[in-house]
Amino acid sequence: MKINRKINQATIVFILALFILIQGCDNSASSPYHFKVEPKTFSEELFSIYQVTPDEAMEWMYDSSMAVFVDIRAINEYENGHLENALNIPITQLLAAENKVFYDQWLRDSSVVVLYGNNQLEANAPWMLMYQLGYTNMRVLLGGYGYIDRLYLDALEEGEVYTLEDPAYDYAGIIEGVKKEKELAKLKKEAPKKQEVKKPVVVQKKEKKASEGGC
Amino acid sequence: MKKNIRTIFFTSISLITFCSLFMACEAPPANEVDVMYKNIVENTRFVSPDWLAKKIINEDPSIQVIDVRSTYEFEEYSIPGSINIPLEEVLSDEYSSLFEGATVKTILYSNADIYADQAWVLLSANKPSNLFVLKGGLNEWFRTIMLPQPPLVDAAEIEFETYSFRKGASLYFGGSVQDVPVAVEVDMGTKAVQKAPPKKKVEVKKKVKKAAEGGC
Repeated sequence: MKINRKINQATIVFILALFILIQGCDNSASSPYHFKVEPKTFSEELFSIYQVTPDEAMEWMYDSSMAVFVDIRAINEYENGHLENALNIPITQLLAAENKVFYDQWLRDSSVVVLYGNNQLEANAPWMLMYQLGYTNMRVLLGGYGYIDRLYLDALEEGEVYTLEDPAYDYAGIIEGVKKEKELAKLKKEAPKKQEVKKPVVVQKKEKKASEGGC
Repeated sequence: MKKNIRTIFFTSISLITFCSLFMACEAPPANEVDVMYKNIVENTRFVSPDWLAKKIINEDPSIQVIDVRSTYEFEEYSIPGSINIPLEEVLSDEYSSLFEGATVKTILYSNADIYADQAWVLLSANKPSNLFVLKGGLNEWFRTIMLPQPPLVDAAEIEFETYSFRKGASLYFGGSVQDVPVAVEVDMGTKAVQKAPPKKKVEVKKKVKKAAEGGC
């Protein structure tokens, strides 16, 4: 009897372990998505891919033949307000197996699919992932939902643009300005050397000469 | 006693089996797509300008800063100590050795954070990486570190601490501190106004240069 019990216990443990093994490994097994665009080819194409501007989006959202809008924000954010006719696929569901049908269908119809989040950055990486999975008909909404929302409400911040990669400051100019300020402050401290202050004026004269010579 | 020993024996054996099975189960590499997806959704790839400034000032050897803008923009202005790899060339073999060090944190930046984020996705595609993106990019770098502005008078204490750090950092990096507490005294305000124009003058001079070139 004792031996029997031992065997029983051992088999129960073994069967349980096997069950867990199969279950656990099944979950991490194949995802229905596969890479189709190599990062290198993608990096070459990246600059030539045309993204969707807020103005275009505001026209297209009333015309489903132009584009499909996919809102990748959370459900509550979507319900708070979204683009007209946009679908909600939260980023946590982006690679859910049941969504593949839609993606494949849109690709076959070669319709433009516009991903958007609150801002461009939110949708950028998900878009790049989907593009590399072969959904090359997908695009990003520049400025994101936030920009369009503020545009509607006339609440854009001063100088707010959707082309984020434009420098907002004259970087080199500021650095140079600070340097000059500091030099001037130094010169002011050294009172007798006031004559040197005239030097910058000489520099300006040189500029003029150069332009005359060029013509 | 014997029974106790036996139960302990069995439980320990079963625990070991379970553990080893779990390990064996997790050992095979997860799907490449899932790895990349997880990296993206986790959203842990961003570092703040304050964090970066602190690292640079402390001369932390475990970071390298990479500018993914064009060479022209890089030459105009770049964060001190950064290396230039334009976004188009980020995957070229020439630079691949830069991203191999496991202990070195690589921080990518551009004018905003879109190009840097794109470089991040390209570089970290389906492999674990030590890559980070400077949140807000150079624009945010200038807004917070180079041209720091004092917090409102009733702001939380931590904001004043951040501001005093930024003031120091601004001096270190050659920026200019907007040393005027908001809405306090009129005298201070006029000082700020006086400070601002010289910068503008510099910009104007530049424009003149450009015009001369265009004319020719």
